Amino acid sequence: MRIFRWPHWRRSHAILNGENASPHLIIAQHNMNATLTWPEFLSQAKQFLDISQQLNDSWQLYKKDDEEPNSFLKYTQKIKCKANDELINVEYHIVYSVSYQVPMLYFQAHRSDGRLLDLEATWSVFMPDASRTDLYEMLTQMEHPVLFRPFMALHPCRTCEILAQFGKQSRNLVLTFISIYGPYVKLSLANAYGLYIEENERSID
Amino acid sequence: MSDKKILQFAPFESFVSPTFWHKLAELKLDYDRLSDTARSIFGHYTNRKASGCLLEVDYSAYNSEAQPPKFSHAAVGHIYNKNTIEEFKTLDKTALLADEGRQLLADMSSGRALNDASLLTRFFVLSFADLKCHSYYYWFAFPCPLTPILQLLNDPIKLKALPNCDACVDAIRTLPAEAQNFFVLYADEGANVCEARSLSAALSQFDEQQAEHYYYCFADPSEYENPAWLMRNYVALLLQQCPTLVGKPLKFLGLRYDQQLQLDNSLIWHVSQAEACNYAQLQFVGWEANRNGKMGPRMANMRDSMDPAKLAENSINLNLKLMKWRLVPDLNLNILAETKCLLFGAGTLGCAVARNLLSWGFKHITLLDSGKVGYSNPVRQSLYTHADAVAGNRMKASTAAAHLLEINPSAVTKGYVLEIPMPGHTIGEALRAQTTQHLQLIEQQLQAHDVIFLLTDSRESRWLPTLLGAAHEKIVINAALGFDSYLVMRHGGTREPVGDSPKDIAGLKCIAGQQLGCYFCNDVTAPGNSLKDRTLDQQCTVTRPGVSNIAASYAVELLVALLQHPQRELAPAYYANSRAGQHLETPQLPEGLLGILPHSIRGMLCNYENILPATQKFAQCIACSQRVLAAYRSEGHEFLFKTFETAKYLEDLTGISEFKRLNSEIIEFDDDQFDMSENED
Repeated sequence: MRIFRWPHWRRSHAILNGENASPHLIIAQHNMNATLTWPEFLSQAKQFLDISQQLNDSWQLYKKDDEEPNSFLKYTQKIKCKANDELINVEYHIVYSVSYQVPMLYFQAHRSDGRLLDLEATWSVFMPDASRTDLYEMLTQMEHPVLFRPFMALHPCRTCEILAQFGKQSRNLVLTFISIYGPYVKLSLANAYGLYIEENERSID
Repeated sequence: MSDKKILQFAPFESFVSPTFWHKLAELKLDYDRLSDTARSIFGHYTNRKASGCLLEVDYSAYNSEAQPPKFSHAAVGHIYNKNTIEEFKTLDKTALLADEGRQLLADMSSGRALNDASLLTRFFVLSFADLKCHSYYYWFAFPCPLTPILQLLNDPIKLKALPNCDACVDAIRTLPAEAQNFFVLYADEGANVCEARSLSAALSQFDEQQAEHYYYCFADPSEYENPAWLMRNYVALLLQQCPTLVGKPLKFLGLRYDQQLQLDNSLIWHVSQAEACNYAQLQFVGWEANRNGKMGPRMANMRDSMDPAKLAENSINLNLKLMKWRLVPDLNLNILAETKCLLFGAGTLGCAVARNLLSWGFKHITLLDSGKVGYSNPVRQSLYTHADAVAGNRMKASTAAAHLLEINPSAVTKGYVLEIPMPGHTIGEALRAQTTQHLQLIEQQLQAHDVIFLLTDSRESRWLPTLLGAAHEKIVINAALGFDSYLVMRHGGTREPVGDSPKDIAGLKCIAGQQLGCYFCNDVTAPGNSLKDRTLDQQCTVTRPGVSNIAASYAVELLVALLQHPQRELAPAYYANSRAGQHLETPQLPEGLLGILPHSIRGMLCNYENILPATQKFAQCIACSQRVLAAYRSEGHEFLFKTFETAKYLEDLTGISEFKRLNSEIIEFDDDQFDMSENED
């Protein structure tokens, strides 16, 4: 059985951009079973971390305390801005959203002198071609639910519906989530993640 | 090779995490204070999927032991954080670099660097932290002795090109990650031996025979063809420990891991240093160039992420900006941030209005009030606390302004303690000078603001600001309370109208913005001394507590809607003709960005109802009519003092004394016939 198909994120693009007619309609159709409880999120995040360690990737699990939702997955990488060749550091957090019951992607980028990129700069680095209205709907600043500081975030209001469409059979929605949402902010998982899950599922079957 | 190539190094580029500055600020404030002695710090660099040639620092730099992240190695350094920008500027940079260089050299010659190779990756930071402005001036240096040139014997080759590559990689992998920063690989192809050795093992019992098979390995954070800067110190250590290597060919292996943790891209440089080095008379290099490629310091302004006021401001704006997402994409928040509001009265209404203004992102708020905070105030007047009352001498205007700043430190708030002169409240000779002073202050403040809020507790105290608001063409928002009723209204504009006259809509009546009445336009009596002959419950505004919050919210929401309208206070007010409405379906009132824009909102709590009457200007109004405005313009304070003397003066001036006499019989309304949409034309 194939559980993890990579072209998913490409197809989900249309949905993220709101090209489907009515968001309410879609939610009504697909609202089922793509949400996660906090324990489910935590155990899938830990599973993801295991895979990452097997693959020698550098994801980490940050734990503030045992409370919901105070643990999140963390990843850091350097990106070269196309516009001026400037190197920036981006820190990604996969945090559990209590209100939407789905994973959420928060991130923050800083320059070599420590200055953070503001919303405008973040837009121009990560989504140079999108229109302003689309940007407001997708990528904006929000308060980080664990750190209580403003972070950039991808809006979670359609995550459930997207996960329902593409991750229905996935045993790890956290991994599915990262693979679908990550590429919008230059966070790409190695193909090995998909293969790894596939291998393991095959051996289970 | 005829043309001699010289090996060049990729200089380190400093890469600072914001947390490095956060921690520095904390240490400076809580521990170092005035001390500016050097602090030991740690940096780190990675040779996995390296970008540029970075040396990074973050909050962990100040820990007592190095804690490099996974796939990274430690670098050892100091921070010299100076107390003033002058010290930062005038410090002898050459001397500092030489001093750091000598420390490095001492670590080499003492053999310490052999046991702890991270001492070879050296850096230091000269800094000045302007904690008030959240600005950090800094300059990194990566000290390195100016040793004789290294000749490159041939082009660098990749590790995977070695015939015994696999054996080398296997040998390297036997070392724990943290020992892979500097080590020696003994690879004798002929004897089929390959093993990794620590620096101390390989160099302290140096064997020249074996050295022919040595690869001097190091974790190479450079992504370029050139090895990272730290190799310079490596070479210096090597030739200092083993001087016989001068002039001999040496093999350096820069380890570079890729994403899959493979070493395929690692590079090998064959080099040779022809001249010996005089370690006694060494010069040092290593200051980092700034962004413009010049030798000089850098400055990072961290205000956006460190100043709590700026953080609050960003978060507040964030909340408001969310409205623009879907609900009101065309909402203009800048207008609100720029509009200056002057509040007459800092009581129940004043406090509530001010807080609502902050919620909407208004930043300029000035309050005028003459009262002190009393014991009964804090429960209803949301900007005061019991402590303010206990203090006994806190004036409402200034206390409210201060507390607004506590709520939003980026607001610009002021409070002035003054009496608002009122018609019919005679001013004695003794107080005349003070009143003149207050009048001047009021006029001056009024001119400096865009919006006037009338939030006092008596009718007559609203007269002067109504008149001044009209005379200076300001937006005037008025809120008044009864026991369980309230009135919120916008006064008609006095600006010269621009653009088209309002559009006619069948079934709706319309009053142009400049034709709308003021608070006094419906009155046929001048305000007198309403505090005279009143019992306490009549004097104080005795109201149901919710009324003031409701009215204050309406007042601010009405202003916001008005400011979003292209004509602002000249926006027309439409209202349904109630009589016609009985036969026909009432058409929709035209809506602006935030819905309809009524002239006034009258509501009561006893039945939870609002009505939205619109009324026209009254030609004989005692506050906004042409005659009154003309008298104020020509006579100024003289005229005002006459009205303070007796309110009758105003009634005579406008002619309402006459009007009152003629119409006295129709003053009594029958409730059933009372049409709130009065003044039909």
